Amino acid sequence: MTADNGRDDRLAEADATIRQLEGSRAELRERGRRLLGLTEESGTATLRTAIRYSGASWYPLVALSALILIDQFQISGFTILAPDIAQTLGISVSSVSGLLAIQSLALALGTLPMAAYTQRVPRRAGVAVVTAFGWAIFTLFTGYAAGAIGLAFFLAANGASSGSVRSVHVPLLFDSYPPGTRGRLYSAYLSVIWASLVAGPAVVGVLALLGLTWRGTFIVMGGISLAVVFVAVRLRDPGFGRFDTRRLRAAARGELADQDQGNAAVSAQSAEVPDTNLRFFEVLRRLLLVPTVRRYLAAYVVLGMMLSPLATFLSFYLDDRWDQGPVGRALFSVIANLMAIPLLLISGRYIERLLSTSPARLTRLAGILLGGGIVTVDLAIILPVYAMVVIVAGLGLAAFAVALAASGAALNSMIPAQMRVHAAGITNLALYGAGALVGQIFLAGIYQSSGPTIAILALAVPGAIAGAVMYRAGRDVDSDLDDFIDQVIDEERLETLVASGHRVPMLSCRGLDFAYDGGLQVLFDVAFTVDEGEMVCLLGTNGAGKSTLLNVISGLGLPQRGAVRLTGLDITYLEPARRIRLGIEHISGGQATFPDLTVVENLRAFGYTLGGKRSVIEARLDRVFEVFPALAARRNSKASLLSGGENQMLALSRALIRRPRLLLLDELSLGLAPKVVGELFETVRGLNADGVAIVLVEQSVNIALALASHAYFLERGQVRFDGPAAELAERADLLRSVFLHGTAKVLGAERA
Amino acid sequence: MIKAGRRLCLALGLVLCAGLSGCAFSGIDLVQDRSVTIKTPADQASVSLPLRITWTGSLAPGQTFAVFVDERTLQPGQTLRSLAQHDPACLATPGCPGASWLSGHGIYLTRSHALTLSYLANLATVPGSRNAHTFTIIKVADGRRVGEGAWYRQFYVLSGRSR
Repeated sequence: MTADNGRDDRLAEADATIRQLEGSRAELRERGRRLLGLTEESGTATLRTAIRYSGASWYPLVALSALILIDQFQISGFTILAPDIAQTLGISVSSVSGLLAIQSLALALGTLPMAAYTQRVPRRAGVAVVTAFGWAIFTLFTGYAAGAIGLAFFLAANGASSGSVRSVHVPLLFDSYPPGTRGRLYSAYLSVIWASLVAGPAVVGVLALLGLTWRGTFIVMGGISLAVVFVAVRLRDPGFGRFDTRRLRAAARGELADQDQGNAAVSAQSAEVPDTNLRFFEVLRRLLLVPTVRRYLAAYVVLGMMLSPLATFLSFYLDDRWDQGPVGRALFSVIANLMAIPLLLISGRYIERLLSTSPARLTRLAGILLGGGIVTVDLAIILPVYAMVVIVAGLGLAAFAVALAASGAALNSMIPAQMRVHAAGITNLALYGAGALVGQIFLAGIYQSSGPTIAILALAVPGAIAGAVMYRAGRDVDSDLDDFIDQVIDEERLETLVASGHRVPMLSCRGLDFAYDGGLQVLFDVAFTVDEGEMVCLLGTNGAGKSTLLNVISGLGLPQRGAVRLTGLDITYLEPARRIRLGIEHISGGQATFPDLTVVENLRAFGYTLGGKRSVIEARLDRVFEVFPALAARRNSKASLLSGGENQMLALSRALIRRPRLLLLDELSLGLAPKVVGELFETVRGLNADGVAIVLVEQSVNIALALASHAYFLERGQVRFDGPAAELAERADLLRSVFLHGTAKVLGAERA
Repeated sequence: MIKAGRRLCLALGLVLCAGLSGCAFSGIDLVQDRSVTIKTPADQASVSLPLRITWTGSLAPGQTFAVFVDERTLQPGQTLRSLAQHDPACLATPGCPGASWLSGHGIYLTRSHALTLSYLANLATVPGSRNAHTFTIIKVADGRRVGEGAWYRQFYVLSGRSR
């Protein structure tokens, strides 16, 4: 039996597990789609029936609506009462604008910390209620502000705490209700947001009519807010993915249970599984790799550029063109916002149907509405009759509301439950942060030079771009949705398989696609497997993607599609430092040492991840000097002064210090003398004999095929060969393309 | 979860405590002060220069009206002298800021109930926009603003009548 036959035997079962996973994927994906309500029948039941049948209640919608209704109180009060505040406190109008900018910034930035705080433990309901108490109290104390600094403080605190609305409300709503109701409920929730845009100014107006100053108004609004928050105190977090991710997982588990009746090892083994849950920034990076999310973000940035100045420009337009004072402008705003409410409620059913049958079409519809909305507003402002202006512009603005409902429903349906808070955070940052900021800066120039009418007409440009980008996002929605379903199902099934005693390979890469930022794709659907204690070589032409594949395995590069699994656990998006702790060591030839540190300092730095255990580090240093006496002689020399061979010895010492499970060696022998190369690879052989699995990327085919039992050959980012090293040595057709003709014969002779 | 909730509440409490240092709980008006009523011009009116501003309202002994035209007002309790803090020449002159210094800066002191403005700068910076102005009346005693009461109007000066 050859070494690779041994590998085949060892990996046969492990590969079978992976094949089993891939074989039934299509069937499970279809089942997953049905579970997520992506069927013709979904959304046809009445809301009441669907909610009752699912065991959900109306309370989360009522509670979240109550909170969102009061969310606008402080900002409405501040916007309307700004002149009174400025006169009372003796601050200038520009200071008032600055205070509003501080609040907007706090609001945009407040979303991400909320996402970080709630990502692991489902405490979104608690955050929503506590921060609502916060903004209610801050609204109340705004009435006691002694000056600009006090005002800035309460506005910023209010903005930051109401960031919770934008990060946790929608994920909470989606987890509280099943697919088939979400489109309608989300539209209803958005209609409450639009109602709050009317309610806020209305309350301010009534309190002013009752004779209260701005201070009295804020105090009363704070009191009302506090009372309303009590409506929501019974809000409880339903947990992540109650109606989607968890259902998919249960389906995957159920499917396995049918094949593999009851295995007691499940709970015993799962306790030993290392933590590979994604952390905050890893989730953000993961989301940014989803093509649809990227397009949505781009669309939201451009949309923010348009929406933020639009409100300001419209106000000036109404003043200049139609002589509308504050009351007339407020009335326009009220009518426009009121028009959006019935449209949102009516469109909810249509959004639901599209969400069930084709989220891609729903996304395209959002794009059309965005572009159409701004065209309608532009058309409105050139109309000769004021009543027509109000109605047509109101319709245009309502189109934006429906577009946001459609795009939000589609986006949240294709993101795993635990990542929705992050998605909400970054989309809000794009819309209200980056977009609004850029819009105010750049489009203000057009207003200054050309007046409000031209400025509003000019907004058609960002509006059309946002619409086109959103429309284009529809292209990838279906495949991204399938990826989401596959990911959840694969994860669950692999975990269950591993826990129930099935064997999986130590490292398994499946379906990897990788492209650099410029769009140049380097890896195409790459499958790569390494088992415990194995030595595998990875060969290929220059630029074939060998080093890129190692980078994807070690976390230095993130794939656009596919998965990297270590003993079945998905590590595709873990940061490199966490992969080192899981036992993956990547030594990149010629750049793996710190040039300004001495040999000893380098070795101690390598031992950093051992957790400061000095005795362990010292013992391993001694071992390094025993293996590489040349390094012992130069222990106090800087790495930059070492020879090429010594530098590679120092680099390889990382493996001796850290003792990884999987060692990725990239071009270790490059430019070194044969004697040094022999010494280095003797050490590599020793490491492998000690049980370290090794992936060898080598220019020298002789060395690679002599050392490794199994080989992969990459060409233009695709695996062209996957088999015993000896077989590859016979494949002159492959090796000829890169290496000197005859190499295969030489190697064949050597092996013989 | 309970621990996390407590931490969040504690953080909010600390933020609130910090914010309380920027608060005033006395000497503030919660109900509108209607002791002054502006008669002319109407709010958002389009006017021509010279413009006569009129109002009604009583003054306590020692108080005067201070009319701020297109200028931010004093903070409650702040002195008129503080307005000249960036004008060393004025600060070095006894009695400054006097009526002439103040009127040069758009601030008019009067115990009467009328004021005529014959000149206003053109504040229409954007083509096609209107020449908007604001005046605010507050009460002053011993050169210091009294209370939080402030009465103001925005008006538009018709084109061709202001520079």
